[in-house]
Amino acid sequence: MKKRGQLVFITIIVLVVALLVGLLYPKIAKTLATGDMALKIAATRDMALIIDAIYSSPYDIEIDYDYDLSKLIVDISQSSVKIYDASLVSVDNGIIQGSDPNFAKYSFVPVDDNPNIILDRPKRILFSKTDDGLNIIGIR
Amino acid sequence: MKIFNFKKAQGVISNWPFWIMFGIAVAVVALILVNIANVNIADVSTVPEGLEDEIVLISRFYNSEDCFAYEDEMERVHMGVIDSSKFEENNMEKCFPRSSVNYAFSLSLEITQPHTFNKGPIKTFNWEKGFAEKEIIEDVFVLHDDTKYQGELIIKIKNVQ
Repeated sequence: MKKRGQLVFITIIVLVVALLVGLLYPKIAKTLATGDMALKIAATRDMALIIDAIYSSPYDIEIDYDYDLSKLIVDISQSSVKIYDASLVSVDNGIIQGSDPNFAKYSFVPVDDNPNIILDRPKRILFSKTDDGLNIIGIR
Repeated sequence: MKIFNFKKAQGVISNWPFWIMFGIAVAVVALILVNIANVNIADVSTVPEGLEDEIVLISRFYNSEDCFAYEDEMERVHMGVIDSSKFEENNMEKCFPRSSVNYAFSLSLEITQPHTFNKGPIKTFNWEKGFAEKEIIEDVFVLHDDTKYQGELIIKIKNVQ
């Protein structure tokens, strides 16, 4: 049997932990639902569909994707768009260093092409297609 | 501190079953919240039904010169006109190369007038045997033996996610 002082101490700790947990959960849920995670997933899908649409067009085409992705790193390679959190990975000599366990990925299907492009924290992305093929530029 | 002076309550929190139940309750609430958050993420980022397969991906088959669209001597591409000589399985590798895409396609070309002409089906790399989930018929022109005919491109779609 524990002494009353110990039990009071445990009770206070339990209450503090419960309060912290209670305050933290909505914040975690909000971060997951509306923050960078949602942006990462939505942006990968946007870009993969834009690339698919560009490949389907026989004409020259230019699309300005002016969604601020300055907290993210975009990797377009191996027929997929991958987006990483720039606070967890960096770009060094065109190679992504570090790892983001929650990176987002979505596939596209190129037409007679194999794009390999890394965009470091772009504020806008310009997609264009000419006779020379697909060109993607990130503007910081 | 009278509030903590309940012997029964003191007894409860000093027992292991209390802590086990407390842990389970915390885990359940965490799971519920993470699931709600995941549902919200899915809502935000869901690609509308039919957009990717029926609109974005299939248009390459009849619009892109690297697929089956007719390209004349002046290098003009005729959208919606399929060159029957290009409508071959080996062109599909260039038109729809290997990737982790969620959809598979099977294409057949048909001319009904003035005579019956069928070609295909030709399939994408990820097409597996079995029934298609959707079938879309696109009205196209078919260039066959230097003559343009009205025809149909029958596209079967499977979700291979």
